[in-house]
Amino acid sequence: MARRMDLQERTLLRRLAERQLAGKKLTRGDNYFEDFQVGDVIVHPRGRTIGESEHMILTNLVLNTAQLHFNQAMCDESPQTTFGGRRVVYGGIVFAFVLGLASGETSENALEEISFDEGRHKAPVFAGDTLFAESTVLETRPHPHNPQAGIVKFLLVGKNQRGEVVFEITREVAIRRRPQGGKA
Amino acid sequence: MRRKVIERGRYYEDFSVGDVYPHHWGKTITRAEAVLFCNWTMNANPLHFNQVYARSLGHPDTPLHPLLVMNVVFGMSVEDLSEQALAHLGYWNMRFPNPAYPGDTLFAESRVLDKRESESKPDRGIVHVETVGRNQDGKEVIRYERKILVKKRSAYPPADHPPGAKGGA
Repeated sequence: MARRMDLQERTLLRRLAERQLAGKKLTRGDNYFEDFQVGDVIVHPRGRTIGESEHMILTNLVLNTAQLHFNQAMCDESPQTTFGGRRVVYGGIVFAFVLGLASGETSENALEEISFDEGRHKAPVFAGDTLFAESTVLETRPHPHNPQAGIVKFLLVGKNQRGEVVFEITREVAIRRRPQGGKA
Repeated sequence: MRRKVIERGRYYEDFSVGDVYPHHWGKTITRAEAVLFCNWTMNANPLHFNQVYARSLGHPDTPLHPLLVMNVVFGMSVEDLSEQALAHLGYWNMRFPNPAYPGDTLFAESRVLDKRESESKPDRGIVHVETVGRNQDGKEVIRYERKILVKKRSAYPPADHPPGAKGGA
């Protein structure tokens, strides 16, 4: 069970961590809250091919027991109920990879993923497919409690190697504002 | 000697609006899984894999990647909700009221919000559920809605073998 800390202990750890990170630049300087403008379309730089066994490993690691992701004999037996007899990649894994591909430009400096909404798997993904990601900035607003952060709402889109949209979802992220006083 | 062919998962007829399913197992998320998942899926935010960085932002430890929380809660719900699904249609209103950390144990529960028959295909229906994940202290760490395309029992009679094991496993 995770150790619970009181506020004083947490504050001391925070000060210590700040000292340990002094002078270090761990994240990019071009993806703070101020860098996002409504209407921006960000085409993320990398693609990711989904491997044959890795998606089954991830599916079972998170306890998903739906056999259409890991029983090829069932898919062969029932092509009419299993995406034409092909083993479809579990959607939660597609979601995680598309978010990962988008994270360098959209959430490297995030404090928190606040919400996701209107999420749709629009086309199946199979082993061997390569995923790509694009983000559109839908909205920016101040953070209601944290003056050092703002909230950005994105439309996150995942595409395959043929350019077909396989996944889309809206996403609200709390992102740090650019630190003042040269501590970027 | 008895031969029992076991099948798991609910069909469309088995869902009733308002039903609540406390899901099986619960899962403790180890530090290894936390880092493995977020780096495997190419998350670029060091908040989830750099403990010093996470503490500098006021966390006691690296918070779990929100999609690890989602996937484990979703995974534990599958036997009750979507093991007999034809497809998972999407997610709505997903929120993370409290962060979860390595060592936390997650539990999941779902409620049936709505169900309706497919307009185009008689062998299936759509079930609308809300799933909630909580930690060992009962604190809510995720909540979301989901729509699932589920087979009707009437269209898919029970088989005498596990799916795919035609030879009679």
